[in-house]
Amino acid sequence: MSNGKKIGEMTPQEIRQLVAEKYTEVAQAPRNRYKFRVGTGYARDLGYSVTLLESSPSALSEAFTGVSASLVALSEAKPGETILELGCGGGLDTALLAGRVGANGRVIGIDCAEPMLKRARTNLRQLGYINVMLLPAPAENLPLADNSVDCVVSNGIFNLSADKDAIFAEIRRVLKPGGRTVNAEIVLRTEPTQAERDSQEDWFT
Amino acid sequence: MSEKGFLTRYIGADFTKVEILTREPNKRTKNPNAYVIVARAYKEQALPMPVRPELSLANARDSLKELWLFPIAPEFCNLACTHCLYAASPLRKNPYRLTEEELTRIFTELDSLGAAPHLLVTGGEPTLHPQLYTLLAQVDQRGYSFQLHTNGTRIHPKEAEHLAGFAHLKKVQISLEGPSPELNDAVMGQGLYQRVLRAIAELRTREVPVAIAVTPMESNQDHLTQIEQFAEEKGAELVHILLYDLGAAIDNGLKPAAVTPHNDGPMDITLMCDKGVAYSEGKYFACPVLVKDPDARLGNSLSEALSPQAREQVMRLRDTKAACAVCLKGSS
Repeated sequence: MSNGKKIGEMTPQEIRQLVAEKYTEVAQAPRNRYKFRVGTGYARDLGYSVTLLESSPSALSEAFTGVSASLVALSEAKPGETILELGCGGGLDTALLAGRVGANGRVIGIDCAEPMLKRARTNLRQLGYINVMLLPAPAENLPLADNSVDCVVSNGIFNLSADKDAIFAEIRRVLKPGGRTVNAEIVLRTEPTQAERDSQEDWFT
Repeated sequence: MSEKGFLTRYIGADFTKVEILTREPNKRTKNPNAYVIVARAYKEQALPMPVRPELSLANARDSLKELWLFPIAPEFCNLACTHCLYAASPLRKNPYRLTEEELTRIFTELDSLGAAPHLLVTGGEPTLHPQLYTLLAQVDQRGYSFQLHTNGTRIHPKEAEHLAGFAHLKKVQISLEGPSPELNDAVMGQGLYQRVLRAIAELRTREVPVAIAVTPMESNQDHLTQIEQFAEEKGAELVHILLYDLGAAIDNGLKPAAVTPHNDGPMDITLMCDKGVAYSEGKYFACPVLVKDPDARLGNSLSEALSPQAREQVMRLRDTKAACAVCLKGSS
């Protein structure tokens, strides 16, 4: 959707579509050049275990676009828990979480880019995880019941949304009382310039 | 979005315990202005909603479980404890004495409502009433279960004998504010530790059930376990009393214990005003704590004190009175 519009002139739906299109492109052509880093080398630089990355199918991390390698450990996901991952992408964190919660637990991954979900589905099936459910949905409108998950995680999704408050409200709604949300996110030291605000490309940086 | 802006959104969405777990460099983009945080927040655990019993006139028989009775005015006492919520002292000679006629009137009204609450006879120091034991004998003869709250200073062998003779006396509750003369007497007055111990001995010798009441405060919070052991040695129950920001406690700047003393068994979430009313100086009040507060006066009769209007008045008190906040926080 390179319609030349400024971000500020776009509706939240248009922005959501812009994001879905961009990540569809990433899922289909992870080796293209983007204004943000993608892939296994980037995951390694962030601190994901080299052993893990090398022992997994390369498709698991080649479309990786998260922002932190600490998220899964900090989520403290435990056996038997139900974890919701917002923006699961190609499924790298999803696979790690599925390993943590075990056969009695469940990981629900949502993503707004269908090709990303397809990629994650293939990867997780290949790894033998059957405790994972992958759904196409925006984080602002979750297809889950109230009070249904123990923990929500995300790895760099809020910066892409025009309605961040809606995501927070949805997280709170689906969490069980006492549940936690652990979110890795890019934040800024100073406010972005107007040019950066306006640019569709900079929306992803 | 700044770090602060991000965290503010958690708060805005009603999350609690918002915390940044790590800050890491941004490796995703070339933006030197950006860095990565991992934040965590919780959806608060829903507290089980206490089911409050409905104290009502229509169902007084089942809902009126307690009646606090002040045979003398709350501020009339032979001691002047530093934490007294009524700032009672020997200098405050309020002449009110509960009469036998008054007591009979109370019983008549209880009978007409079909209610037989447990009576808590308190003060002030109730033993300063010259006919206390005659009044208690009436209570006992009518078959009401009751208890007596006293500082023990006027419980000698003769009084202990009296008390031992009551069939329906459930316990005598005596205050002790420290496990040593120094700690106790700083609150109750010189020599009181020994006098309290003597009273407990007189009662226990005659197998009268005794409860030792301690008010956990900053000054005794490190000695609560000792008091508990002391009570166990004496064969007495231990009761924790809440410290209210009223009376002498304000003047003396006393603070409640920072550590909550452990309590075995299920917590009683029923407030005093949920299960009864207090009768003091000829009037009914919402609870024994607020008997000197005109706002808590519910009427001259039980039927007034249990009326729907009076119950609404109690609900309004809970929203406005600092003492109510103490009860709601600490249960009663």
